[in-house]
Amino acid sequence: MEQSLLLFGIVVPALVALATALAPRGAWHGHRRDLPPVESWGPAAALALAFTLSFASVSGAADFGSERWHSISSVVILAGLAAVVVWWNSPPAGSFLAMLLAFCSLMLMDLPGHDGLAARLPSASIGALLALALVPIARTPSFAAPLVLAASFFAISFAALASGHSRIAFIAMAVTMLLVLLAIPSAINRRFILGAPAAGVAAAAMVALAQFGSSYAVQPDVAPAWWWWVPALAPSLSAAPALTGFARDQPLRRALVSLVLVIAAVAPGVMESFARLEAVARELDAYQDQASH
Amino acid sequence: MLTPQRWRVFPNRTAALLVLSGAIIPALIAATLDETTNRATVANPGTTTTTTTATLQGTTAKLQTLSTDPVHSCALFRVRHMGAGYFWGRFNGVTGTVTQDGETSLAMDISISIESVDSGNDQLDAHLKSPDFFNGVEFPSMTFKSAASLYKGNGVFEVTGALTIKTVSKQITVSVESFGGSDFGRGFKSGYETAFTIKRSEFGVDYGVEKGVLGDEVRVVVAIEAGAPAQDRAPAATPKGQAK
Repeated sequence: MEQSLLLFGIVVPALVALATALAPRGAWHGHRRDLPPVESWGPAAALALAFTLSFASVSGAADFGSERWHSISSVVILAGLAAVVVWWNSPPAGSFLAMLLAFCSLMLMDLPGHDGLAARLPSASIGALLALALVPIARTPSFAAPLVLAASFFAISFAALASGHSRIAFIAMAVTMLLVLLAIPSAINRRFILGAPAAGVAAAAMVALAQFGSSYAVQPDVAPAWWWWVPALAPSLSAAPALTGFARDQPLRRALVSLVLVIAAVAPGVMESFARLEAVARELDAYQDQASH
Repeated sequence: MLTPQRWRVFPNRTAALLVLSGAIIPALIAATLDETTNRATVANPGTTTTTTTATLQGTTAKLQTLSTDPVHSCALFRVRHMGAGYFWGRFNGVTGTVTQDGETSLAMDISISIESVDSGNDQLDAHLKSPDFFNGVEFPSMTFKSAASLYKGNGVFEVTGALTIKTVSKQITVSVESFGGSDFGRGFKSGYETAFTIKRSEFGVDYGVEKGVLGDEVRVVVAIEAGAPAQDRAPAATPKGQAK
């Protein structure tokens, strides 16, 4: 893979977004365990920023808006801005606004097959439910919480690569890298959490990518259903421990179980995508060997 | 013997004959000239119904606006890969019409299906169809519609028209070589070929251009075989060796 693409498509967007996530540090500094976690707008804005910067880097500025898939970037920008505005004025707002955020953003997304309000309702509803499912894990003060979302975006990235959508793969990988980096402050400071706004933005982004994958299904070997499996079902599993009351007083243990569940859910798809990419690489190598003889 | 009444109408009949002669004789002369010179006259660019006579490579055949033969037409493209060698691919789905008026004009209305891209590798085909490149779901075809043509001699026309890829439409001028045609009993067929270079970034297909992974300039070769639509073809040819 070309190095400058890796740098400007993944690393730079993730680092800039990380700085944004850590910016409102005044709200969550302090290491005392008995202090409650602080919900900040930083991680939500960072998610939107990483997505948008990577999109701008890999898609180019020419004719922006000329294709319908460009609207997925608008969705995430809008979700990020709305999260910042809402939580700036009334922190912390909770699950309902996270759902509303994801729902409204996805209703605005304009992809093939997304014509009319009725066609948009299913994906917007899935986004709202996903946001609801993600709020408990996003509010968990543990390094495992960002990794739950990172696993899902990582799986989306591989699905994109295996389907022939390199640009989306870069964007999803930039968000993955940001979430992995966000696990560091989460591990260092127990008051740093992703928060409900980030759950809303992440849900909007995941469902937007799922809608993209199923709308532009150009690789017959990758079923459109796979795109919905990752954003809709896999992250939802992270809510299972909270819903069942598992390890109620042990947030770290609960978050780790969520992480294991999500990784188990996405692993088969990632491995299959990886195997497909390996097969393509082998095919190309064999062809080059044959050509060189 | 003519009556005075008949004498009165005779001058009128003469005038009518003269008028009719004036219209018919030039038409007859023109038809005779057509037969003797065997000059090909085809529909005006943009029309789809004119049927005339053409002789190319010694074969006289009914010629009208011709439809491309998708089996024997294709578009090849060549782009530089990783700053090293040139990579070739092709589009197999070339459809549309070609209208030639001898050495006077050549009109083309061609559509190339994005779904038909064939790079020899399924993964690469999927990538080319994706929004990274052609976005075949939103823009299922790219088109070329000619607006003017100029005969340059030796069967070569300079054709100007609009090339549309995705949302971008640009006027380009290409040299199209007409190879003439023939009829092997399955209808008249004619062949055309053109080669030209475009900058793909100007058409919104810019993946990898900025980072230099893939070249911006794309060499395009379009080969077209066009024939009369099936319903307009003559009855099946007499089997070889049998008297007609």
